[in-house]
Amino acid sequence: MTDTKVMLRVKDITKTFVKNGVAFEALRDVNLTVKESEFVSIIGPSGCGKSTLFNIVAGILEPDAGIVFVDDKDMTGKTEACALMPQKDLLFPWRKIADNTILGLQIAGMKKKEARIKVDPYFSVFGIDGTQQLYPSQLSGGMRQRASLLRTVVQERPVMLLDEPFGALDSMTRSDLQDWLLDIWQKQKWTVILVTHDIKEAVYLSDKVYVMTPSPSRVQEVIEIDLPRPRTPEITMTPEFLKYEAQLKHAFGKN
Amino acid sequence: MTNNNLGVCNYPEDKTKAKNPPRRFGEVGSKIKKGMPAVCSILFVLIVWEVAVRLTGVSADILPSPIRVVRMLFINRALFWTHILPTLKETMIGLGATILAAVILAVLCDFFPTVRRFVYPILVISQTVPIIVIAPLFVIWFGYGLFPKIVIIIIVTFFSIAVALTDGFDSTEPEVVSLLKSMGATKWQQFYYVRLPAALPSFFTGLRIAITWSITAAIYGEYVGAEKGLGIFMQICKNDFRTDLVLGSVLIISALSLILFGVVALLRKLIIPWHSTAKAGEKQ
Repeated sequence: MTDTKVMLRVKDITKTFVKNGVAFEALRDVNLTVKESEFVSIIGPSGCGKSTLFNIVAGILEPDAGIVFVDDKDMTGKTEACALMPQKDLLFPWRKIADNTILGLQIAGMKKKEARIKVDPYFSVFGIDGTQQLYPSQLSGGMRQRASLLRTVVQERPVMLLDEPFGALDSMTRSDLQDWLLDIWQKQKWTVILVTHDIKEAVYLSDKVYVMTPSPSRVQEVIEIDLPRPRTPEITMTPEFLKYEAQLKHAFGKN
Repeated sequence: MTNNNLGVCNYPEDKTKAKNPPRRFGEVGSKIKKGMPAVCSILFVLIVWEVAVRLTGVSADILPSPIRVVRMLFINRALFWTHILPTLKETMIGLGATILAAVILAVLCDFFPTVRRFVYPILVISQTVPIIVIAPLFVIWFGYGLFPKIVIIIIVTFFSIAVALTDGFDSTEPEVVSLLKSMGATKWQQFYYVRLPAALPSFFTGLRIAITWSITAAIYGEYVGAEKGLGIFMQICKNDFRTDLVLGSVLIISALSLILFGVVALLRKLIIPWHSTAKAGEKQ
């Protein structure tokens, strides 16, 4: 693992919002390191500035201080390095699934026809083959989320930011999709940062978990999840898994 | 699991299968069923009216029977036709001008919030001015031609379309804006890919209101002064005590409104077919 290159480095990010004359410090000196093909989770209490951090990493928001390096290049305030998957699927009701998934490509200037050809093979990989010509309202929540991940993946950005992608799903679908994401990630090896509230999800999927404090948010603890890969659902029953879960619960409980 | 050219495995289909598109079977039949009570009550009113006129023997100058109204309408169809066409033309041109102006203004307001702050008060005030009072002024200013009618139609319908459009543009969630920004979308791309299509359902709601108002506005514009058109025709008939022809005009105006309403509904179905499916999906 030591020779893997660092894909993303977030250095001393600080951000304060001023609303109605009242200053609110969202992030203070946040540091993250994500290696290539690493799956990193961020957990923390609600309103701990995780979304702010994501928006800064995604280049949508400028930090007050600090730098975002992607592949050793300063990408602070630039959107080219990261692809974002929001909590809600945000598929457009007026676009068929195929056309929803090519949105990022179209915005990047690719022709519609070309983009459709490019995404088509992914539909079977993502288990949503046959939905290309359907409208989002005709799909279940789980399938919509798969399409949403596909829209993120096809942008082929170096880093993928998943913002509580399963937060709004029922627990059955959620657990299905966690297995699915684990499986597909273990084959594709994207560089992923996942924001979640779910400790089990964090341990199950990640190589490394950042625990954040309440506002002003800082990194409280970094826990390496040294569980073997490829992982299967059975791993959640092992004592090692439960040990990590307890460790994270403990860290979480401190704040 | 089979390997494909991406070097990764195929995944089994999601357990929850894609729902089939809603079936259209029996749609027409159920529509007829739904319409039956309305048809019955209208027929009932017409029969009572017809019988009452015959029994009381009231003069046709005061209240003609429905059958007489329809008969006169048929006999004078050529005359009616010469008055329907100008009214229809005014309505179409007026509504077209309104849509064009409203789209331009709403887009400007969307891109430049300052424009909205300048324009909105004028829009609201334009709705507080009673059109009945100022319409006769337009005859003084612009004469008896087409132009004053179009101005009246624009004043009456502009607000509903412009507001529907701006509300539609604003219906875009902030999360969607973040998503598009993360994809590197420019302001124009955000507008083209999201704000514009998101505004279409709202636009059609506004248009549906505007279309019926625009006919009424055209008629009123003719009423205060015109050479041809259903509005002025009604006034002439009224002065001649041809109540039957006045009621015939009313019938035609209702029919025109219904037809235009239907055209808008049809356009809506053609242009935003996804909207009804999306609404059905929400209910599930």
